[in-house]
Amino acid sequence: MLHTILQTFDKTLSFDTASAHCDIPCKIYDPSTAQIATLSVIRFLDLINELGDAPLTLADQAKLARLVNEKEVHAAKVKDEVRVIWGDYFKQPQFDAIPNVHELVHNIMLTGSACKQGIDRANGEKLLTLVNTFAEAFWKTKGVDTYTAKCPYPPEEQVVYPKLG
Amino acid sequence: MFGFRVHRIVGQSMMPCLANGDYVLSLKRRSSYRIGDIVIVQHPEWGKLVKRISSCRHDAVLLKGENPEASLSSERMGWQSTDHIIGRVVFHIAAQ
Repeated sequence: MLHTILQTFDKTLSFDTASAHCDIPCKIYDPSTAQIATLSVIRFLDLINELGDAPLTLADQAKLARLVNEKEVHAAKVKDEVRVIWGDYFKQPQFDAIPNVHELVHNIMLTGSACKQGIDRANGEKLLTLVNTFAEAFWKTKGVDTYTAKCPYPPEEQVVYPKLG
Repeated sequence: MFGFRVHRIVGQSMMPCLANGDYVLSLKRRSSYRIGDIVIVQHPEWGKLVKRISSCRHDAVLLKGENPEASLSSERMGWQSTDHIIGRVVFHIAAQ
């Protein structure tokens, strides 16, 4: 009965929730989501720079606002996806196999931030290089060989892929 | 009011002690917290969590979930300053 009373109050007062939930340890990890987010960042940088320096029409200003927002979201996604793999998947055996992974992840965090803060394509390219290196390291810890190929869509940059099957 | 707060539990990481949908009443302690206390913590990365204190030092606590299969590890949560503790669970109202 007391629980029912609290439920009723909860509907109007909206009690704070306290999470007794976190990651389900499903063991599904894949750096491809970080790589796709990085390609998206580069694409948004390209589209932003295509707008040029001339005074923008109202329509282009609206487009710029959307592009900047999506760049922000996807650069944050890169950082988040890499952080989760580094924080959840990597354990001591993986750290032993990839001893420079901490520095690599830190550089990804810094470069991801640089991509959020500016519109220099060089930062996007640097981010892709770092994330590809991270992807290669990840697959190495799983005993999976990798290869590099140009992605078949803009920005048509080189991406590390796992050799599966 | 008087340091009491009501929280609704979300998730299973404190099972079987606390279940999803349960309510708890927490109280902000003025004295130090103890090992074994269940506390509500405002974690800087994971948000508001409910966990049990597994270890203490003078200004920080280490937390653990009751259900290791569904809980963040103590290592991931890290030592948390007692300043982050919203309160100790003093009353539990289980869902039916």
